Amino acid sequence: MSHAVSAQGVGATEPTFHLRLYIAGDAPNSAAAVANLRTICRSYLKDRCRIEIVDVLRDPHRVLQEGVLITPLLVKLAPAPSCRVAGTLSDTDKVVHALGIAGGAA
Amino acid sequence: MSDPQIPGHLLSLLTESELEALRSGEVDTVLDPERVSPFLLRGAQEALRKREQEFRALVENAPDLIVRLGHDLRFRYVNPAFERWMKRPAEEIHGRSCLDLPIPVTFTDPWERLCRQVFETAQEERAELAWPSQGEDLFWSVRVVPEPTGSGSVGSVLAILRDITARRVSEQKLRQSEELLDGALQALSAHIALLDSEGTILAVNAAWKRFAEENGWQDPQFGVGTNYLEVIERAAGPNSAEGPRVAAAIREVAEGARDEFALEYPCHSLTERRWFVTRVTPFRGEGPVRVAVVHENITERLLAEEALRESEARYRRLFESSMDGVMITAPDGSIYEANPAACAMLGYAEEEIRSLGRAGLVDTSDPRLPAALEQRRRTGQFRGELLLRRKDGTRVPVELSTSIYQEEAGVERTSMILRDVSERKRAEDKLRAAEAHYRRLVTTAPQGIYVLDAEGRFTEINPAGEQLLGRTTAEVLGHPVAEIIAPLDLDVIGEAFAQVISGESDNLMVEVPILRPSGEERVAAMSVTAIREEGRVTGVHGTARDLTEERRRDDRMRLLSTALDGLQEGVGIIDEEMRIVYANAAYGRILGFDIAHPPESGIDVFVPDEYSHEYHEIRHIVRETGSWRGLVRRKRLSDGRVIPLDIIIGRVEQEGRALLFLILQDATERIAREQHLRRAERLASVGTMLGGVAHELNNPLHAIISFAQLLLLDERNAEDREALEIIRREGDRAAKIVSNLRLIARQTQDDVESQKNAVDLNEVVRHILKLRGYSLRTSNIEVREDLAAKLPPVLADRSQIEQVLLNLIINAEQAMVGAKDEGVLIVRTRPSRGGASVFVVDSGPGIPSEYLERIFDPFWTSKPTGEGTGLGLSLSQSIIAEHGGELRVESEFGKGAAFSVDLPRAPTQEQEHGLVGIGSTAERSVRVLVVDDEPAVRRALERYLTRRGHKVDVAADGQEALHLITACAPREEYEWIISDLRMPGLGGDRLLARLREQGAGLEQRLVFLTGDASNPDVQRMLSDFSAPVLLKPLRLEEIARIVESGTKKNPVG
Repeated sequence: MSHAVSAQGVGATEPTFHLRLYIAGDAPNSAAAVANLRTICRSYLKDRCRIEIVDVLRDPHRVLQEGVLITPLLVKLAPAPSCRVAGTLSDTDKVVHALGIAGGAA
Repeated sequence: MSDPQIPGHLLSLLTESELEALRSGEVDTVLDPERVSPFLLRGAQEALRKREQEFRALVENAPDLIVRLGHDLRFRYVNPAFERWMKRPAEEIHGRSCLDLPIPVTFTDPWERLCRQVFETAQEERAELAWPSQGEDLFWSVRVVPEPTGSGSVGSVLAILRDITARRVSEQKLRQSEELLDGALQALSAHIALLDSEGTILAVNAAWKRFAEENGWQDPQFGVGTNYLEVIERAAGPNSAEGPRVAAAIREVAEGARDEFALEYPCHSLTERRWFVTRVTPFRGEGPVRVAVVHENITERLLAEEALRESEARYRRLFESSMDGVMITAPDGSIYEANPAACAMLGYAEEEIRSLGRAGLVDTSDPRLPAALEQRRRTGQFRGELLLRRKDGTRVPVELSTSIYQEEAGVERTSMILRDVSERKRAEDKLRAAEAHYRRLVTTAPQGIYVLDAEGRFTEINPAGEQLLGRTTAEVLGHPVAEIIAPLDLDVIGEAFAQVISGESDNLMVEVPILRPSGEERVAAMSVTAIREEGRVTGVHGTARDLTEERRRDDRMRLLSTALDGLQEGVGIIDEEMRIVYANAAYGRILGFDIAHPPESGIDVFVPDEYSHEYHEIRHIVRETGSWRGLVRRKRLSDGRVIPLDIIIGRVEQEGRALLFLILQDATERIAREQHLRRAERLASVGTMLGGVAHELNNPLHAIISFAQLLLLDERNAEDREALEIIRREGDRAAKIVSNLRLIARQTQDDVESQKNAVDLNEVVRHILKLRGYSLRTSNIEVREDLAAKLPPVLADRSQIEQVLLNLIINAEQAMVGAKDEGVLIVRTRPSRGGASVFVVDSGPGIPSEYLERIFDPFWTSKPTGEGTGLGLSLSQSIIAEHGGELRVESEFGKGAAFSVDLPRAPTQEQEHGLVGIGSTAERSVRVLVVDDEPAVRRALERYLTRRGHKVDVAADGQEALHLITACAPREEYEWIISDLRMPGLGGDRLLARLREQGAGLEQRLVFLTGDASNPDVQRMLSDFSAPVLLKPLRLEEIARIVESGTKKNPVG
């Protein structure tokens, strides 16, 4: 199962980021990655990001289909170009840079 | 660093980023695709089993409706919730299509579409579908999930239906309320910005945007996304000091350190004064802390507050300086404030008033008090009069206006305004008394008094008015004036009313005819006066006086006055002070004054001084007896002449006043008439007697003279001749005396025209002096004749002039006899400019100057009663005036009197005829008939004419004469018939008539001879017949002249 958080705000014209995070159950690195991703989204992509979290333990067949080899792994599905960031996502700048979030905090 | 546990083939598959994460230990699992399947399968199967159990329990117990549908869209599985919803067991549903179930088509169609889509796309689909039902629609959230088979295709779909009706409803409500809130927020005039905890602007309302635009904020987002704190901390300008304060406050509020912050500050623009308030409040709600910054223009509020302060100050001043007493009190009777006027009115200091309270000030015995308090309690206010107690114990009536109001704190207060009305009360009492007084006056007024409204309808009428109109008040009120008063002439009152109501004139007086309901007509004088209220005419009022009786009286008076003015007699009414109250036209005319302005001093002015005594006697008699009538003499004011008046005086009483009425008539003419009449009567009797005497004497005288003449025709000795001459002369003299007598007799005949001839005044004088010679001599009066040698003849009736001269000489004679001394009478004649004059001058006592004016008045005499008639001079004057001459008198008392008579000259005439010589013989013999009853007369004529060679027959009367005339042979007719007039038998007049009847023209040969020419019958006859009339005694040669000249005049044949 997966769930998504969607929000639309004042800046609706900005592109919505579609992110997917693969995790392995309650494993420590996975939990850290989930928290870090939420913080980043709140800070940089408020109301304009959609996050899908995939537990490889629950959906093992997706792991195979989508070529995921390690967890935690963040995949940017949209906007193009897509990219992957592995790890706990604790280095915010690196993640932001990798995701190509323009402007940063105003 | 590398993990030895990771196989090499995996490392080649990992990206740089993954490898780095792997090296830094941030990776939980590494999956080896080659080894994962068994591991995964095992775990997965176990998990699957476990999850299937969980799922089944979930599905079985879920409140949602869960079904599985195959490709054919038939139910493969339904959960118990669905069974309950469909009210049938699963066995009846399995294998059936949803069309077989009682589900509305509008629901099943989109549902099936949704399912097919999922079969095609293998993607989960969601939708919210409406389930129409009675009442409100139900909403279902429908989620269709593909169930892949092992080959990856979709074998079946799972549909989960959740009833979201309640959520939809609450969402709708929420949306509405959000929209409402947002609308309100946008509509607020305050500028509102919502900040997050860091101070970043999250949202602003419309007012903020407007303000930002107006103040040149160049941000298309109106600051959304910028940090407000930074903006205001950076802000420079006159209010920069406030910036950091506001920023600090926002932080404190955001941190929860303070609840709220507000700051007011001026923010004037170039064009206006502005004030703002910035209010910072936490924006409460779920989620992160937010702060609302409310920025509001409070200029108007501040200005209003300022105005309020000023207004309060004004009210305070008003309170302090008001003429009326003002107190601020509470409904319970306590007093908080009292202004100076209230203190002065009550005689207390403000402190005392406060401590006394209402109970100490109001006269609690005033019966109006409880009702007043009750009214104020009920309605919140009271207005009226009450009695208050003053410090000195007296009561003061005040007009009091009080009302309850709420103070800010919700405390009830009352304001109380007092006005001392004691003065007004006194004035009102007076006014009421005056009003009652006037009301009585109006009610009892004898004149009608009325009031009309602006439409001309009666609003008031007094009893006199009712009586005048013949209607009651009830019949009149509310009706138009013209209709009630003057249906006879609507225009009169209508126009007057219109003029006054329009303001054209303020006051009019009109005369209107009034028709009473009984049909009786009256006339009234109505005044119409405007009633003005604040300059506007709101109606009219006035009085109405019944003129009907007055008019009738006036008419009668006019009639009387006209009648009186038409009288010849003067009519006057005199009051007790002898002033003229009324005089008719004749009165003024007779006494010579303007009746419009009678002499103010009264009728005394008409009384000549010499009649003053008589005047007072008459007044005395009138006082005693009430009337008097008689002759008086009064002065005419216009020319000062004294005239005789016949007067009747009577006394009348009018309204307690004694008035005299006078009727007077100019008696001048009456007196003259009466004088003439009296004299005529007296002279008539004398004349009649003299006429008879003359007639009787004339015949013998005629005979005496004729025979003396005849005898003288013959040769006589001297003695005889002398005797005959004396007989003839004395006969002539006697004839003249008789002739004088005849003259006097002739005065009685008014219709006898005076016979004016050329008269020698000297001869007249001599004649009269001879006449009065004896009397003058015996009276011891010396007579001096002073006659002009050459005096022109005057044109006069000799006998009348003789009478005048006789009068003057007799008057002189009598004046001198009275004086006892020897008198001298001078009679002088002188030629004058127009003719000749006679002066009669005596040496008597003269005439007092006061008599001089009156001596020519008829009946005025200075002689003792019985001696004079008072007619002599009057008659003389009228005779001379009739001759065109003048009779004058000059006299000085004590020095005699001189009368003069001027007479006009007579036209010069040829000597009428040369008298035939008495002794000669006629040239031709004429046949003459002499008719006279006197044989002596007959005989004398016969002898004389025969002697002159004429053929004379005689007859003793007319009858005999006619015989002789008819007996005459042709060519032997009488050329002249000389006949007496008065004869026995057929007289001269009848002889004349007979001769006329014969028609032979013999009457033209008739000559009458009479001794009495003054007889009226003779006069009448002579006026018809122009025959010559000869008066006896006559000289014989006179007859001869006629007879011998007549042949020319009257040839026969």
